[in-house]
Amino acid sequence: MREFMDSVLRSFYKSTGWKEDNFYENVVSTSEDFPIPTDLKFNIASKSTDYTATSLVVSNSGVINGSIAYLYSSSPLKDLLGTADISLQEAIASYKVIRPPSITNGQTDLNKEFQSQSLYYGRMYFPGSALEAMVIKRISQSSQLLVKCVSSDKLKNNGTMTFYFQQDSGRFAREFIYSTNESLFGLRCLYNFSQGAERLNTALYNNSSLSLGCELWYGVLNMSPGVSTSMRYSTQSTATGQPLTMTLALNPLLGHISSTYSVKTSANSTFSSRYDFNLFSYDSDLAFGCELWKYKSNDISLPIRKVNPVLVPHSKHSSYDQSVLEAFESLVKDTDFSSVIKLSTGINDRNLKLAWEGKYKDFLISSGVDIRFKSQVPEVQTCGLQIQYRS
Amino acid sequence: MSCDIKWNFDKKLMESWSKELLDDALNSGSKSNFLTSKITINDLNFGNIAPEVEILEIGDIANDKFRGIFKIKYYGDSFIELKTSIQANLLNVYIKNSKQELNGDFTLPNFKLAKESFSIPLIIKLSDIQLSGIIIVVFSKLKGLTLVFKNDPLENINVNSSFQNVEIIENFLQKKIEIQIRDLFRDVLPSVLNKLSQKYTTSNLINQLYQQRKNSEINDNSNNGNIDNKRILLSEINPMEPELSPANMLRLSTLIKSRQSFGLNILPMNDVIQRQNLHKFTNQNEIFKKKINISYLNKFINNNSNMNNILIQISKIQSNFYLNENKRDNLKKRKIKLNNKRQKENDKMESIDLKSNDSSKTLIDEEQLKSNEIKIIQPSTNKSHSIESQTMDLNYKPILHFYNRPNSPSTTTSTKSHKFTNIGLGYNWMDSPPPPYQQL
Repeated sequence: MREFMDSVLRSFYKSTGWKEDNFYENVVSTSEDFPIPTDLKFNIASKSTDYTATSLVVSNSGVINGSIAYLYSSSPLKDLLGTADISLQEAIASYKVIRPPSITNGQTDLNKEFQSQSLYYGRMYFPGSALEAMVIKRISQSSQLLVKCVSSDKLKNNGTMTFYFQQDSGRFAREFIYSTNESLFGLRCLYNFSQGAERLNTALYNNSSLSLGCELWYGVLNMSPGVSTSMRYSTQSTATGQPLTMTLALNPLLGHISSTYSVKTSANSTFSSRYDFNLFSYDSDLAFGCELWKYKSNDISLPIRKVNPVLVPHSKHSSYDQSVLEAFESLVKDTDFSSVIKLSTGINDRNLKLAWEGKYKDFLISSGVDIRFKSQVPEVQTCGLQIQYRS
Repeated sequence: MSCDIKWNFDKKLMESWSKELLDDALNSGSKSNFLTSKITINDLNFGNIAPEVEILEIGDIANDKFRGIFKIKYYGDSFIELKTSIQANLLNVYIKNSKQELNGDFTLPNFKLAKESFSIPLIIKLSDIQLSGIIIVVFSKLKGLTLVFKNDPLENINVNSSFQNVEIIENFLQKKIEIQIRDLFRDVLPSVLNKLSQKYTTSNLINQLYQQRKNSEINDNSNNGNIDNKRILLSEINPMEPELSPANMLRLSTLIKSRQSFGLNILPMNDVIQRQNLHKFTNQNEIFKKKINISYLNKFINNNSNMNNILIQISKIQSNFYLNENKRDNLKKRKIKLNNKRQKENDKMESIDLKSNDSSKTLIDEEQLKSNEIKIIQPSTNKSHSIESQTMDLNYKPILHFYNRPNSPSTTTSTKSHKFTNIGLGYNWMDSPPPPYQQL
């Protein structure tokens, strides 16, 4: 289940035309492990106008605590729907279909005049009255500034601030990051390769993308460096329209290699696997996860297609292909789902993570449990329940 | 004076015991994010060379207390080998630390593979430990063992690790471990010893008495083969009796308040022994030491008919208590007639006026004091189980006094109730916290 703030952020990015998928931060988000709630949490949020929203969270993890959040956006948050109206696919983080970036040469954008949009968000925790705040400011069509900060008298230096300066030109996206916590500097970039078909302009419809990115970190005060580089290939099967994503990531400092493969096998199921290997210690790990969505009604019409045995020349992509791809997408988008079960397990961790997320009346409910099988008796590592309502 | 220490004890037993102890001590508390596994002790050896101990001074020696200064020297061949694994990715440590500190990851950037954990096994061998220092040992039955190092005892330590060929890490470890061990001698060791010693000495006399009673009972019943293991607590006999009765607390606070005065002449505290005069009291009242013993408690619990005798004995001890430093004459006992109803209830009760010895001029009017006097009530035979023997008027509100006061030995006024001690079952003087030790 997406947190309220995540939904707001997505909605803001959508309304301002900012592509967050085109950043290194989300390069492996398709195959990322889902989080298990750790406590009992109740979240009520309301969008009072298109520009403002409020959220109240009460949670119990041994002690009762909570938070109140307010936000203001200069751009109308039209996509932010209440839990009564929202579809489950929108409300729950699921398989992320990667679209190739629309590489514009500044021609189409001239029609639309750029407007500087901003988002202000503040959240007060109690007890302890820690304050967190976020400001997003679009500077130009291709850049924005994001500032996150936490203020509390319990913290060292009474708080922390993190600045992100993000630039996205479609083909190339980069971020400069500075955090006052241990004076951490970071640089992240992602480059999208142009493909043969696209270059030659023989494809009418191209839906695959190949990206390469890297991140560099250096904490000045604690002298901690960090490097990693990743490659992502994402495409859609032209025969059935199923999207698939492959990533290969490498940490050259520690000799760690991680490869993932995720595929949305049908409208209601996703499978993902990850293989990790360390070149220095020969440590390896294999993890596996899946998502199964439950239909609301039983009468479902899967896209049954006859495959034409005649091979079509590569250069002649027909509009028929496009219709297949779009049919699958719209099927995923328009089907009514009632709940989803997520499973994940790993060989090294020897655990089973199980999550159930769904809608009950107008409430979004997310529950999960993490069971560890390391000893003879399986033990529950974490378990929790979250209930969200927003209007 | 120096001591010859026999170092040929059963080392196997000692080593396994101290391994367990160290294992607990090393893995207790919150683990540093720098470590990825718990610390285990691979090997522990006490060596063959004994430490040299020289007695410099013995300040205080008695049955229940001891204070001495020692000089200790150790140039032995003992060693210890520890095994753990450490996090090699500093960014991972940074993230974990920040998450703990910030209680969330709101301001933390979303790291990808750069944060991947990478642990390296680490074996550390500490040898050539050379210690030389002066220790101050203070032992008391109440507080247990207190051990203080007067100087930094660590002279040399040799650290060998599995990173021997990497000089930077080697130096880093050497420095860190030296700091840790200095810390160990300064803070950890004294506190561990203090905790450990408190298991063996006791601050709770009653518990010890019960233990002895239980043992004696086992001996008594060994012929019959019928052992009663059930412990009987005072609170079981009289569940209404709190550990320190509120009446006594109030009484103490009244006494303290009476001293919060600018007056030069204050009311003497009749039924109170102040701590600085305690030793005189205990010397004078040898009877106290002799009379309260285990057999009393045995009888007290086993035989209800003896209880009245015991209570009378205790009240006698309490009345002995009224003897002040200077005045050893008998106390004035006075019957009070407040009203008829009360008199009927309390016709057997005797009470003592708080103000019995006061002859100086005060601003407190006599009437008020009379009506609010504190009564010590003799235990009545009707209430055989009641230990609460003192009552007090709760409405007593002392006013600020300004009256002449002779030079008193206790010029310092304190609001802490433990400065005042008294004897009785409800508030054993052994239970009251001891005065702070002399600064060493």
